[in-house]
Amino acid sequence: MNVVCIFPITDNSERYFEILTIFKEKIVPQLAILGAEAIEIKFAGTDYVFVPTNQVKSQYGKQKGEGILECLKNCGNRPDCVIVCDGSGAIPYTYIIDLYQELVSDLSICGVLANRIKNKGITDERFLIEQFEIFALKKLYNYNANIPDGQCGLWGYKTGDYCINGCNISGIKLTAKSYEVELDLLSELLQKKLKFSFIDVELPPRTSSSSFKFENNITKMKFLLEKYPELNDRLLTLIKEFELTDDFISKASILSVKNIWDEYKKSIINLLSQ
Amino acid sequence: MLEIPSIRVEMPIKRDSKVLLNFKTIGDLKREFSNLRFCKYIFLDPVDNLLKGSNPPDELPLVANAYITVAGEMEEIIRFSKELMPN
Repeated sequence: MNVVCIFPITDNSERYFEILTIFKEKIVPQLAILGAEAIEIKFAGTDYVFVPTNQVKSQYGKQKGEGILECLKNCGNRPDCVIVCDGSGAIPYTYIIDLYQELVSDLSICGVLANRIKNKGITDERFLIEQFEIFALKKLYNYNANIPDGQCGLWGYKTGDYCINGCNISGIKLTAKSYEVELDLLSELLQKKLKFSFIDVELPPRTSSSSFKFENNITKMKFLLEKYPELNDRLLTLIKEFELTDDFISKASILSVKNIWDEYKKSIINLLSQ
Repeated sequence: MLEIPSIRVEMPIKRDSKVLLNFKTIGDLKREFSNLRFCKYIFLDPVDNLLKGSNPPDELPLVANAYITVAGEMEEIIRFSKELMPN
């Protein structure tokens, strides 16, 4: 298998050495045992100018999703398997081994997502909004199984088209430009009814601040509404349904979380009226 | 015996990379890291304002905001990566 590992990374070029050392000592030997024949490692930068082949040099740095997509366009060998792991160090890099093992453990598994257990590594407000986004996608595609997490920065998928139970299904095509890239993957898996699974990851306490801003929540929903226009008519109903769930009630009992949720809801209503 | 997978790494050259101070051209890098294969160098050439890509010739200048792809032994790639760290 040809494996490409992409690390979206913000202003952390000193991490190349750390990441490559862990690859040498731990990840490469394990991936080799699991059948990886070629490994390509890429650092999708977000704070500097990326110069894509045959395109005009952009004035500003690329966003997370754009950086990942540019990396995918630009691989040496056609990858059989794509793995993305935030390059900030928030997720221990060795979980890449578990993710790859899960991905190759079953021919029918098309994607694997990480499930942040205990510490989610993000604020309660952000996690509540993430839960709503997943709730909306589950309702949209009548997916009844539990999705414990869907937006951790460690994920992977097999590339190309799939043949499942004799049916040909087109492969995963990511288009998200920013932080909605994880949601993009999850929505592709749900929409195409592809089999996916989770690996549990335990994150250490976060020491650095995230570059994620409140506005990024709105960009994520805007992306979903553009990709799945049928969501437009259902979103307000889904918000009401979500507000009745136990998850919401317990989290929104904290005033600061409730305030951010109300602001989010207002922004979504504005978005729908545009 | 377990076969070691082939390794290829793409890294950005940022404005503050040490490599910009220590080396002037792709050829300089090839001489210093002779065990590495320099597969790709995507950059905007300040001379003709054109983008350059695969199999970079020796005379290409090293500039900031370019991407460089190398292949070879992990040990040597790690040594090379230190040059791309901030000065």
